[in-house]
Amino acid sequence: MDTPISLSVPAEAGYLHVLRSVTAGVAARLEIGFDDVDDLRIAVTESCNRLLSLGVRGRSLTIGLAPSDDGLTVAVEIDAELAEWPFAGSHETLAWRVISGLVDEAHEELRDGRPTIVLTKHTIAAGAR
Amino acid sequence: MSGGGVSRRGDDRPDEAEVLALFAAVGSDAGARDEIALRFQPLAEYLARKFAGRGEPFDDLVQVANIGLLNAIDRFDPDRGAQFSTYAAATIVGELKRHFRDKGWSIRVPRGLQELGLRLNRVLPVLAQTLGRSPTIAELALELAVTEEDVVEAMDAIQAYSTTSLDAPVGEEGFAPIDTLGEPDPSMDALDEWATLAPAVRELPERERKVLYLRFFSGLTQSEIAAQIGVSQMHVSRILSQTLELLREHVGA
Repeated sequence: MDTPISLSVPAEAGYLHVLRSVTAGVAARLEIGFDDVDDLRIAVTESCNRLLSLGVRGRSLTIGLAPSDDGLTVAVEIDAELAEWPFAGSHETLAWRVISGLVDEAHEELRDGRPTIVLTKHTIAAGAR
Repeated sequence: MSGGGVSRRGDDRPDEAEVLALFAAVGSDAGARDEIALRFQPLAEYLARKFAGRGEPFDDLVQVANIGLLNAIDRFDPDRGAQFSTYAAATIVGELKRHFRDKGWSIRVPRGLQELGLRLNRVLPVLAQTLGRSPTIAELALELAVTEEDVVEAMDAIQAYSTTSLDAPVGEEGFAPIDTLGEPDPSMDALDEWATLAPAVRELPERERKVLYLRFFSGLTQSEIAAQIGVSQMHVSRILSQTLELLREHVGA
């Protein structure tokens, strides 16, 4: 249960539904409400699109799913090597408002140069919403 | 399949020579167009019936078929030598297929999945009411006597496609969603901030703006929004996804 799950797909919009479905499939195993699972799916889509908007071509998008008793954390990253966080003033964008509004916790970071968006949805017991 | 459905209804097929005579009169005789439409009404209904049972009311399909028929009449060129019945059938079928495509239901979505999606849609608010919260996928699977994977699959299918059944009001009084959206609401003020980030927010239809407002400013859950505006949770989900996609296209991020 605590073993992380990861999946990579080509960094193209046409593959996002695969990541959405896998996210929902893993979330389904946890005590997470249907609404929250659905919000998480939308947040994953929006996160992927945010990363795709960087215009890094021919690379992959990866989601890392870490289910726990408290909830599900999804790290969405794009395979790139950047020196610094690419979105200037990034939290003043519509995209970020939406993403952070859909999940319980959201933050962004560079992981070895890879822009990563980390989303968490809590289980019902852990106080979703 | 040669000849399609039309040839099998040979008996009541209008006489092609008479039809051509009517076409010759369309310019001068205002009644000729109606007469052609009337004669091919059975064809329109016949083709509409072939698309029935896919989540669309039959009457709506007949209307769509009739639009196709009228288009066929307007576009048909008798000088090209084709039979009108053949041309009309192709145009009507094209119109029906387009209708399903516009509605979002790919005709290829497996029937079982559609039905499960519709059942899911019915069970969701009932369970939510009983539990006082959004049910988990495991709880939904138990209620529907299917596997959790089935529920996730149906969720995917429902999100990706729409049916009129989903769009139908869910309130007991059967109020149409539009009724609850009639009065001007204050949401635009709050959304103003967003509108500076994405001017397209201003252009959104009222219902889409309202859903955006309720989800991101009032912090309501999808189910709560569904109850408030009188549609299903999954319809709210679809509105959200589609609205965000629309905004993304306009903002480019």
